[in-house]
Amino acid sequence: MGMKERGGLTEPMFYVLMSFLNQDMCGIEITEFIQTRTQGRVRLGPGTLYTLLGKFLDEKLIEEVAVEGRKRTYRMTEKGRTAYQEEVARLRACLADAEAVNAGGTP
Amino acid sequence: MKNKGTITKLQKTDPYDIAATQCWLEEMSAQGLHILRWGRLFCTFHAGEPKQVRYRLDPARPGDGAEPDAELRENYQQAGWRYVCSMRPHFFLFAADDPTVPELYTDADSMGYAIKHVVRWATTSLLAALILLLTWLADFVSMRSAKNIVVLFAVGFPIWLLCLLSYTHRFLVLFRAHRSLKQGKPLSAPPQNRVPIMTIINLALLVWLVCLGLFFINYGV
Repeated sequence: MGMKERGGLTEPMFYVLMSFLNQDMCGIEITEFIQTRTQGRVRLGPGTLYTLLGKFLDEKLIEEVAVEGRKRTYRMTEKGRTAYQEEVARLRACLADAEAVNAGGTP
Repeated sequence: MKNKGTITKLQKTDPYDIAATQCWLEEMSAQGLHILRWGRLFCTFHAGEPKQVRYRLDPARPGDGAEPDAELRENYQQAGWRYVCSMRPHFFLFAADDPTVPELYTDADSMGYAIKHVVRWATTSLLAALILLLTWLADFVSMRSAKNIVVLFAVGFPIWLLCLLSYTHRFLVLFRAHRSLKQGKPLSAPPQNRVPIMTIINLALLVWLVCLGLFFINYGV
């Protein structure tokens, strides 16, 4: 199911945005961050990564902060931080619903 | 056609049919023919040892030149994907020799986003071709009393028709692929013995232009 149909960020989008929370990042660092954070559960192909970086730049969720040789570094904008926080809130609500149902709460 | 370890072959797939093209190139590599260059109608292969290679078409991003961005190439290389050649103007070809490296696109949604501007370009060019054809036909209607009108029509109409067929086919192939990817479905495996419609149309156009050239050389305008 695509992102629009589901109304949130896809898992790769979510993790790419998460990688910018505490520091500016370049492409390789983002891949390494996701690999470590998810213990290899989420694998990000380089085509997916660069497409998402392009999409986030277009939507002004991230911005380019430095170019050193061939290495480009990006940081998250306020708009990006808001989109990330909204997704975290949505996922928390989903999890709370699931836990309530698991515990035998009212449907 | 052979030349010092290289072989030139007519394209068996349309470059816009992403899954079919990838599949054909993988079959060629399994037979020991490794793609070097993708032309308008022909491909050049290096003849070597048969290998299992994964080929992936990467849609060019807006602003990309004839070759992919240097940083992108380096990072793709580190991820196990080597750059092979440009399939101008809309795709770059990458290959992975190691079967364990992650796919170039690990989710359908991002691939769908990546080909969006190629679909937009195919839509625009189809509309432009339709408008030009209608303008050309309107021009004909307005000069129906002109001398040699039948000859002019017979010369021009097949060219327009072939161009329109080519643009329509390209648009439909890309539109279906984009729709499937946006629904989260990966590109489906192509059926065996798929007909390379674009190659056939391009060849027909070429043959028609050659025939016209010969006709005008022999009989004058």
